[in-house]
Amino acid sequence: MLQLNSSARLEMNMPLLEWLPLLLDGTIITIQVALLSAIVSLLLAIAAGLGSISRYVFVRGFAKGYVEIFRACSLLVLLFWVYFALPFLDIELSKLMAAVLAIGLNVGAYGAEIVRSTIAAVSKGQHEAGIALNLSGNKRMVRIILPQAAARMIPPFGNLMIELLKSTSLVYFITLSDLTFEAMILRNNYYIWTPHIFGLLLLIYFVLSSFISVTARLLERKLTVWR
Amino acid sequence: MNAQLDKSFMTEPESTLHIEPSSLHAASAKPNPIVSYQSIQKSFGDLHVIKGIDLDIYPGEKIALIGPSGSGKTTLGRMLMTLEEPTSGTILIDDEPLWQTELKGKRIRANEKHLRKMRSKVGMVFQHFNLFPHMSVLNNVSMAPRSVLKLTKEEAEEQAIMMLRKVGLDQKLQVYPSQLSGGQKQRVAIARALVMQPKVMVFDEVTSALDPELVGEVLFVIKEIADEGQMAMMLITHEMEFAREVADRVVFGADGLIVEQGTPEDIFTNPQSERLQAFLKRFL
Repeated sequence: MLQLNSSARLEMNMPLLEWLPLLLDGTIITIQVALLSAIVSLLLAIAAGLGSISRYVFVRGFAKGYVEIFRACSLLVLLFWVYFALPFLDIELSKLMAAVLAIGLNVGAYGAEIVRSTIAAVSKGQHEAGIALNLSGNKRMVRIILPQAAARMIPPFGNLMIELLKSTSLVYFITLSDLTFEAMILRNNYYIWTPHIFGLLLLIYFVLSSFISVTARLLERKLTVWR
Repeated sequence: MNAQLDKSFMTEPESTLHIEPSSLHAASAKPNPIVSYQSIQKSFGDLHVIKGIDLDIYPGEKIALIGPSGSGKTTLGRMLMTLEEPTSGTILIDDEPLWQTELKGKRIRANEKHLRKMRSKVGMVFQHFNLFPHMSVLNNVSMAPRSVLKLTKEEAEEQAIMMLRKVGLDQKLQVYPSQLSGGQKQRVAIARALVMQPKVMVFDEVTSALDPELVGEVLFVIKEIADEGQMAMMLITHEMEFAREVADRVVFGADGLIVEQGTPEDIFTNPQSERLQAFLKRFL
């Protein structure tokens, strides 16, 4: 950092205004990728989480297979595969769709385990009370087990969504012009400001993930008024 | 009294599907039992918890099940609530097998549909209350009437409030279980079970998880319900005084068998078997 404090640079002001449009574009793309893949991953997490406790062997096997395979995949390799390999199978996805699919599949596999384990963590007594009241299996799940499991899901899902947000930076490698991509361009053009540019980048990711933290905390408070 | 006792010792384990007509009561003028355990055995893996039990409970009858822990009392209640399936033997509720159903003239293992039909006649109160923590007291009690008995919200809440009044908690309708004492929780759980109007209710050591000073209020409520009469009750309990006061008949079980049964008078003042005498000595 000290090396970069050349006299040339000290004479200039940081050209923040010139960066802003690019960073803003990048932020919008990042939010887009994050939101869409969050939706995909949550849906997959719920489907696979519930699937893994299904009474049908086939559904259980399918859900568990999905979790094991996609949890073990390197996200970057998966991203490459979806974007670069699928076209060979005549499936061509836009960069955005490829990113959403790869991130959604990967994060959904983690989320499925959260769903499954929080459902399993609801005490056996709750199931039994439901049986004693003659509730049907579905009603027991929907009215008794899931509301209690959901409250426990929020903190780990908050973590997971922050992970997801940060992992969106990998889309840089399929040249989707997200925040990280734009920052790399800025770095090429304003090389001596590299620390500032990446500092700013970290700050923006921090602000974005703070939104997720706050949302998770509010949601948790809302779902646990009974505690 | 000892006819049943002897039978439990003598009867060979029967196949699950075979049902022996209960000849024991054919001669008596009593109505048909609401619950009839016939040659019931239950194992958990290698652990043989119930080793052949025959027991009839008549409509409105209050039965206290006493005995050392591990004697299978709770398992007996849980089987009636369909929380455990007997390894062999038959349980009849209203003369209909609980765990078997007929399909094209053949007896098969009961499906969920049959179990749900049978469950509507049974209720249960648990040692650890098992209230739904995410629902208010009112919702805890009115939820099943709405979603199982298909009452409207107003009807269900009216019934629920009536039951909560009976247990003295109609001032706590909007409170969550976490804000109640153990005794209050258990009273809500009693109201929740009562509102479904079962013909027989299992009380499974309902005061065992309570602080000593809270036991009284719960027993008082149960006594009141017992005095109303119509519902048969199976009281699994360690409260001997309470068993004596409430029960029409006391059944003493040990090691998975019924050792002795009779009126509270018989059991508590004139115990016959050594096991019972030894057991009671610990409570004096």
